[in-house]
Amino acid sequence: MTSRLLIAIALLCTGCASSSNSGVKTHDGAYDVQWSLVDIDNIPVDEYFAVEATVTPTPTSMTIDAVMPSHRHGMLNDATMEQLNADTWVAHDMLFHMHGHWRFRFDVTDADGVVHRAEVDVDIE
Amino acid sequence: MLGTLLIATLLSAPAGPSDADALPGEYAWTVNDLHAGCVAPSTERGAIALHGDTLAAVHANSMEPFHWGHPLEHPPSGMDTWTTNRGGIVLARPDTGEVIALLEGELKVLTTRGNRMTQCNGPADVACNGTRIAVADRGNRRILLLDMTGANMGMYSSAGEHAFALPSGVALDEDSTLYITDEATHHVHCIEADGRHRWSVGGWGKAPGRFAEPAGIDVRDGVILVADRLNHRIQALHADTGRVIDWWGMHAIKPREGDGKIHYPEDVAFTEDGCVVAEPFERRVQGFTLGRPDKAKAPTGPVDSQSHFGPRMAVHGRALVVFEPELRAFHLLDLDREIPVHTTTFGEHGTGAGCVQLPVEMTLHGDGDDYTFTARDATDGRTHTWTLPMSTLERPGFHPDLAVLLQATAPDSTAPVWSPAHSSDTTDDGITATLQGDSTIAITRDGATTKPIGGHGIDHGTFWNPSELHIDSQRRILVLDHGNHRLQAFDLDGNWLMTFGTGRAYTPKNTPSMRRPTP
Repeated sequence: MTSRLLIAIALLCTGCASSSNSGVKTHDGAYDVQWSLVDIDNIPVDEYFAVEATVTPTPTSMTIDAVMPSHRHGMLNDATMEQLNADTWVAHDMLFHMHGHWRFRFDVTDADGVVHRAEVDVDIE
Repeated sequence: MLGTLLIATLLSAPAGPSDADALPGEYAWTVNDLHAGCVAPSTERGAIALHGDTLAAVHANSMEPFHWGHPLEHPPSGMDTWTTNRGGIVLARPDTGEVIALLEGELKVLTTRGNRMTQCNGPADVACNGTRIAVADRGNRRILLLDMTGANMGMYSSAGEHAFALPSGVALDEDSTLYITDEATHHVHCIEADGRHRWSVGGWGKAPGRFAEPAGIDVRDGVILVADRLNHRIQALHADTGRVIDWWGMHAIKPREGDGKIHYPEDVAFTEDGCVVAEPFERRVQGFTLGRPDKAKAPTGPVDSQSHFGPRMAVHGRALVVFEPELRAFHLLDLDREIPVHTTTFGEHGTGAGCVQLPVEMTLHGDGDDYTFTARDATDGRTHTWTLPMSTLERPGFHPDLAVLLQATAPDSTAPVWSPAHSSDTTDDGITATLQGDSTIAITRDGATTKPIGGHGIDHGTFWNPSELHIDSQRRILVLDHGNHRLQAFDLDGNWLMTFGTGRAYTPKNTPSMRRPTP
């Protein structure tokens, strides 16, 4: 929860839901996730965008998703994952269809199939 | 015969509003005090259900023991499932893995526990059409086909591309076409006698054609009835296509409501003049005759503030976690108060990390006020782990972000699909509280045991299918009163302290009369 809050505060300080090369650890501390928006500075509303993430150490796979925790729902579509190299992925077709509080989920899967989760909160105003 | 003709007529007519008139949907009768998770048709009496430790033929308000000619070594229990054919019965026992045929005066044990060709692991349902026996082999995640001597005639672990996760119901028609429910994937499947996949329908949801933990299933004359457990209704489908014909049930707003309202139906079976529905949660069987169901009173969902708790909870330190199947989520209650406080709800519907469909093992660990909670999902064998940092709570109240998912293990199809209930607990100084029978608790202190506390009922201090018991750090006995949608607390002398849940709490101070309606 600490990492979730810190990132949320950082984003709010630097502007509305923008980021570049932000870093976050999985909640169990096993992995670092460096993430950024692709080709844009701010997350748009009701427009598709992409998120790139690099994971250290190198995992087996990862997925990126987003939810609205207070609404208990996610995006209206599934992001499409593309692996750029051994430790870097891009999530295409991300779509925040409404304003409000969103949470990115970076689910990192290790060689044993265990999923480790990192989360980043963003407010879309 | 009339029912058969009417249902057969249905098949020749185009689907439309008039179809519902030819289906069993009109409430007819209720028999209470039946603790059966299964019903099977009885030609003469309507249905066969469990009454006490014997199977009984039931119709309206009469019950007669059902005689099959041979006594069983162990009497039937509420866990067993059975079907009837040719005047006999085929019984499946989840606890032993046995399928027992009592046909034409001869008793045969056809399977034992295991995962081999003629073995079962927690069979959830059984069907027989006189030539074949089909078993919903839940623990092995497959459908097992046997002939009448017990020889293996095939196995299915999927229907087309749909792998079975927890097959929970099975029906066979005269042509040996199979109809299967899967309570984990919320689908209904059809496989023809030659193994061809005919159709699959469903998915989680409330709309007609969607399901929430479908359980028992029956087929007759081209019509399927499905007990749609968490939607509290029966759905009727065309056997040829899986298309919905109609549905009925009307969720009971409060426990014990009936007269056609259905609450957690576990099984459904056609009878000569309609159908019967088993509701073990309500300890009753309801009968329906042909006719249009009354849907006018159907509410859109629960309206009270209490939760529909599942049958399992975990308690450690100041944390109590209980699952709510309808939400596919866990509630955390803070016990470090005179009245426990609903602190957060976490988990969600789905199949990914943090999505638990059917928790079978829930554990809480931790020192101080920070806890780790794990739940294993029977659906896929994954174990999900959250942290619950309750030391960060500065004030009582709801904190939606408190739980943080740490990990989810890889799927494990070999993981057990059930876990024993926590029905007894002991304090550090040796006082033990135990759930006894199906409606009382007993407290043992210095070798002496109190008389039974509680009893079967809906008032405060009584129980309806209590499922688990823990003693918390404040030395309160906490009972998950599953059938009354609530939790209750007692002191170690057996005095009722409170009834609570995620909404309002009731205590002796604010509940002057013990006869006050329960939440």
